[in-house]
Amino acid sequence: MAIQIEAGNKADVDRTPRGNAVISVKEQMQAWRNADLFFFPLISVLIGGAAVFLCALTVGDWSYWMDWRDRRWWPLVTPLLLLALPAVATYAFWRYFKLPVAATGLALGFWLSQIVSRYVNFHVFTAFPMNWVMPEVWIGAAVVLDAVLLITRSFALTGLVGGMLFGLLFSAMNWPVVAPMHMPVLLGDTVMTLADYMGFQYIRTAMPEYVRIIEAGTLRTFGTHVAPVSAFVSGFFAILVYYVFVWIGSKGSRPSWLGKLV
Amino acid sequence: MERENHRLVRQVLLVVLMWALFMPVVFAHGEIAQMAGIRMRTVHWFDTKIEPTQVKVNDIVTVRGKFMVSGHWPDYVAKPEEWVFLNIGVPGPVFVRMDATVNGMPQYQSTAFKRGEFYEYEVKMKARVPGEWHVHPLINVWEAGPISGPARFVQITGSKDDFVNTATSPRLE
Amino acid sequence: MSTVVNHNVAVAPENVGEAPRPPWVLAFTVTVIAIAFVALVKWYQHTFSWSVGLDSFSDDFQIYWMRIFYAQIILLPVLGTIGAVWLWLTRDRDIMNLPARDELGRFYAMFSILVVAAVVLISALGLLTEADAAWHQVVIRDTDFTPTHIFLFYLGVPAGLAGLAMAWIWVHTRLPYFANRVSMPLSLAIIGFMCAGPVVAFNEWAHTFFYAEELFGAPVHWFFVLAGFFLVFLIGFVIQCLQRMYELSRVYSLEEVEKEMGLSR
Repeated sequence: MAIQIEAGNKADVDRTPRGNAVISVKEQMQAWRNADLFFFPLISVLIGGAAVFLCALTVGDWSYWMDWRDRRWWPLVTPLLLLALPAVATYAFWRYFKLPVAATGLALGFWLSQIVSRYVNFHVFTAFPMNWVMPEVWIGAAVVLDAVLLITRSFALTGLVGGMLFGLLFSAMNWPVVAPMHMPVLLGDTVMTLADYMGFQYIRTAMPEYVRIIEAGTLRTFGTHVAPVSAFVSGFFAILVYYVFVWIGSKGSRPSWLGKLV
Repeated sequence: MERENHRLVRQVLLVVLMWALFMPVVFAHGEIAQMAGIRMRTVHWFDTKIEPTQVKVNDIVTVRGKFMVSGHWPDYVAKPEEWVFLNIGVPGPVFVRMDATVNGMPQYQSTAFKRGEFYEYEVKMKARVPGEWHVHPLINVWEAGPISGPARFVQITGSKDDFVNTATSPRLE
Repeated sequence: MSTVVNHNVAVAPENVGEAPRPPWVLAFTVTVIAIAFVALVKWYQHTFSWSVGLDSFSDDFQIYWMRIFYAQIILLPVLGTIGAVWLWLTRDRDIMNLPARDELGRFYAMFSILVVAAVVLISALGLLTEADAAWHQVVIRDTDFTPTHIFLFYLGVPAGLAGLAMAWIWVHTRLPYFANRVSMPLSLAIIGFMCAGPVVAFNEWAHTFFYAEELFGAPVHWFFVLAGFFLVFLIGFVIQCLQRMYELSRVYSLEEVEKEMGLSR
């Protein structure tokens, strides 16, 4: 671990350490290694937890129920919210440690927390079939985002290229989970997708069908291309989201002080 | 001491009496918490039949009955002409809904009910999770929430692992 | 940045004792206990939600759920206040003269506590929040104090606030780097979490008076997001800690080390 010290902080002059905490290079390296061992999992879990909370309360419904995963809203809004906290953490990891791993770390923690939560809460607690409540996977999109940062070494270019790819790849990377749910099924003489059918079958007392926010619009104009079009729009917005949240990250990770409380 | 015994006996009797009175129609989903206006002036349920009440996993339970959508729907409750969904109040997907009709017509998606009209409904469900579950017909009204009808306890026996639910895609036929 | 190592150092003297080490075993044990506690909470929720948690008017609900609610809502603030006052009264008046080795040890201890807190946090934010979603989307809500709210709001929020208040006092009275000034990021994170109280109240009011649907991504829930979002300021706090740990763990020169340790060649 190596960290850049903010020089010239007047209040720090009186705060020189009383003595030495380490007395050899070996001890020094050990201390730095300890700090490394704490830092990476700590930030991943902390900010990953905040990300789980943020996404549950904004785009949770698209994530919980397969019949919410339409071609219009889900590819559009979910990546935008998923990108927010990785962008914040990316700033801290890259600015202070030059580590392009924040998005991947968060995506892993997020996915682990989600899969445990879906199994415990939606499968065991409320008895839904697991394939009906599968969480989205966005580890691949996060790896791409980090890789772009590693290659370009620039937040501006990462937002432009990585943000676009993040929005664009999200629904494509989730296609294996969603595709079987788009098979047509007949109920009476009504054609439904398997997802619609299961939404009718597996009773949700307080979640009636009309609450779904899906495919509002005529869709006929775009035919089967509506999902890629939504993904592109999501990519454009993702660029903006990335810039805004990297800026928030620069504020959130600033080690600032207040000299007097009152 | 004797006095206390009498009190205890009275209390036990009262509980037994109340139980006997309320046994056929049970309240267990907290529907009594609903506002008087919603309970009394929105949907009037009658002839509700939930049968059979003892089933095995994979057996069919039918919920049928009639309801009248009140012509004097309160102003402060969202109107049923907007969006409604004929639903079932159960603790989670312990049943799988196979079919639903209103006035003999399929009712798979959301719809609208007119105030002052009379409707007859039937919902067929397949038992899925063993246990004793509380089942009632229910109408979700957009922006007004669930309006629940009378309920029965239905007992499901057997094993959840035996549950089968198949669907065939026209593409594969 | 590259690693900075001062090579102007000889072999360490043998009689200065061990360098401080993180309390790995303790941290691991407490993490296991914390996970066990979350598992206990989930077990209780799974066992008693369906059997006695569906009707808030029933006597069983009053016994199995409301007693837990009252216990939490009284005990946690009381314990938090006692802990905070005790931490304040037992503060170190001569904190600026804390030896560097002890200070580094305290940073390790604090990071261990943070790791435990992070594990509890992700359990609460992930597991209990989604339990709330799963529960309310499949049953009729008939009270503000539902089986999932009792743990998510009335255990999570008071426990979190008590813990954060104690953490704030501990950090500002036990660590010389934080003494006599206020860490902005830590304070902002706590202020954000404190907003959870009014947000819970607003949420219950909204669900009681005008919001009938159980849509989880509804605008009435977005205030929770704002409150939770302040957690990103904890990154700034961790950076502050790491800056000081870097300062503490740098070997400047052998002469200085020997002088400080009272050793001579």
